[in-house]
Amino acid sequence: MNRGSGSPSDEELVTAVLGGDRDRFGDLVERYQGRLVNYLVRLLRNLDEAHEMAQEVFLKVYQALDRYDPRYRFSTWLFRVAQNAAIDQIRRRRLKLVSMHRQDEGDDEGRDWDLPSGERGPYGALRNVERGAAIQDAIDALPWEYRELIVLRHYGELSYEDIARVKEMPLGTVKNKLFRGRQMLKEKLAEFLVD
Amino acid sequence: LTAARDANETTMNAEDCATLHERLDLEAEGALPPREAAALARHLAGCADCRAEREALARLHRALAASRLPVRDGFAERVMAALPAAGWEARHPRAWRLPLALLVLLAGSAAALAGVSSARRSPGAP
Repeated sequence: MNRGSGSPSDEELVTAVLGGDRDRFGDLVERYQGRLVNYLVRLLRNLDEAHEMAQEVFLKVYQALDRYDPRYRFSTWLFRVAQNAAIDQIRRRRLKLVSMHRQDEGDDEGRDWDLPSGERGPYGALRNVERGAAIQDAIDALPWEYRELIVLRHYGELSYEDIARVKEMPLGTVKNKLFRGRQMLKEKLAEFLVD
Repeated sequence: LTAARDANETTMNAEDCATLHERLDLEAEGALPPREAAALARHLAGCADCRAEREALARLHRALAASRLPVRDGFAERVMAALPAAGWEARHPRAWRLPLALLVLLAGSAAALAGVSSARRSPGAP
């Protein structure tokens, strides 16, 4: 991950940690916490679980830091670990990977997912809740192969190249699947995509 | 003949627009090479359907970005507090750590240089 000139790269931070400056790992956590939690929450559909798993992922990465292969980007490694953890968790919960649609009381969690926006007042707030739930439902309805790429791109905020590395896919395939995934989302969300 | 030509042009336009939707998708990601972007701009000037598609894509990107959630306060502090006293360090005596760190830095720099070289050979990636 390229940072501005005033900010150390991920690899420099890893080097500092391996040199004994443990606090620099906190900089890596600060840098990736938002992207990791958002990536996990869209796969797990549970904010508490996403935070817990993000913490587990950071701990796992820290414990294996000396085995980090600097030929690859730190972000690629981090999200690969996160992806494996999320898939294991989903399997443990025996949820279908395709078209997961929660129908239990856990759906109430969607209420935490109001979209921050300029819309004010009760109707604006209701619209935000509806749109947040609609986005999650639309993502859930995507076939898994599209869904995980959409989530890596829009919530993990990985570049196309990083996604290709995480998924071990050709770059052209990543572009094509993201295009198709976004087309599907656009259709499903048509009524919410108005200003 | 005229009808056949019109039908043919309609089909071509439809194909062009479908192809251009993929380019609009790349444009929205800032991943369209400048030359293709110029051609796309020329098409957009005369195609209301593609302009509408472009706007719908922009709205989708905005909606997805706006749906990102804030991380709970104190998360990073909790992670740091939960780090094991001896994680990877247990496998390496203190004297080895500096050489290990230098090795990571050197290998990372080499990988970055290789990446720059590779990116120069393959423009257009996001």
